[in-house]
Amino acid sequence: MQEFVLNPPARLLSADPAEEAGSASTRREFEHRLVECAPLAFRVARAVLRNDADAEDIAQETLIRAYRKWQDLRDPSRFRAWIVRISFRLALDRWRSDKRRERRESAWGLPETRPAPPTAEQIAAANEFQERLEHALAELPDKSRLVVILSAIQGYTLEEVAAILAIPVGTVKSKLFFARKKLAEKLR
Amino acid sequence: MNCTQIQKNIFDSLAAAREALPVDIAGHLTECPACRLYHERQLRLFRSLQTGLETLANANVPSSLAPRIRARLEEQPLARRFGSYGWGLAAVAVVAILASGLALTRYQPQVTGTPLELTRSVTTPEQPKPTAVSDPPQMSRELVRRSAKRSAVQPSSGVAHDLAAQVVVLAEEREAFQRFVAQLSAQQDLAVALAHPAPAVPEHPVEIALLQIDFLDVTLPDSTARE
Repeated sequence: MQEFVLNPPARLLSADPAEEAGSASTRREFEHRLVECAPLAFRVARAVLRNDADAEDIAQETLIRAYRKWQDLRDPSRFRAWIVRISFRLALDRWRSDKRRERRESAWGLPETRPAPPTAEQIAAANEFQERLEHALAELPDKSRLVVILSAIQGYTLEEVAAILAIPVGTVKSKLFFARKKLAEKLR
Repeated sequence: MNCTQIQKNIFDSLAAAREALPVDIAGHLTECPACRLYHERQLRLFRSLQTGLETLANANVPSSLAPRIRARLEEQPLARRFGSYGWGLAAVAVVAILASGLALTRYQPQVTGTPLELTRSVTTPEQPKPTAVSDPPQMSRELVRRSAKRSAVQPSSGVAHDLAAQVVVLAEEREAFQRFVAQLSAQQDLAVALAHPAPAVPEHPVEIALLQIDFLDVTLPDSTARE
């Protein structure tokens, strides 16, 4: 096979005006999505991980991955759903790996890090209720958990949650109903 | 309905986040203090649950989030859609490459003189069209089976040995290749991706592997053949 090595002239290596304009346009479009979706990615991750620093890491990673794969997304209206799925999946992976590490460490005889059983005063405290709620939420099936989280995010209607997850509104309502029942039973 | 059934319905109704209780249950609550107390407790529980979920799901977004993402995006290569325009351009590039290959097979120069003279003729920009090119209608009647490799002139002697790698490039081929390069300048990475991925480092040369055409059947349209 004949092979040519083409050394492009310097103007090809520097940004071509048309290419630069295209790049700027792409950046602008993505910037618009970033402003809209970064908080959503953070909140989904935060609800899973219950830790601001970890959630911020996940939100960053989500948006970077989305940017890298931007060209593969044929329907831009699905961007929000895409971001939610990436963020949720990454957060779950991080949460599970943390859990595995915790279990491994406790199996190796490290001191038990769990707090002592709560007193009546502590149970009465609102933050204690919150902690119990978050633990109960973590025990829900993944899909139900995502439905509960998205439904609780301000400004999202059930119809929007259904659109994001690409499931019927009836399914969202049903998942929400069973999830709330389970949570309430655990928090009684 | 007994109280157990009523309390189950109250629980389900609150879990479903209904605006109001069904009429029969609401009527029962006015008469049954135990079920009324149960309803109040469950109502508090579900309100706390909702408040807790909203607190969890609406955590304050750190102000550093967007700037950090932007900073990381700056380090990322440009993401671009490969839409219909890109495919069109890729098609143009493929046609240009095929046209170059066709030109190589159709117009074979008559090799005369020493390799040194030949290589000199290559480097001259205003190279005249080779006189050895056959009459196109005459060529159209025969089956052309030539390898693209034949157009490469192999030096037979040690004369100008350092120039042995040079290739005779005809005017048509050069024009076709210039058109191809002109397209490259508009959408460089897309066209280059046909052969190799774009180099990771921008300063590295872009490699283009031309298609090898071993056999090619050329048949001109009937109108040309009649001439």
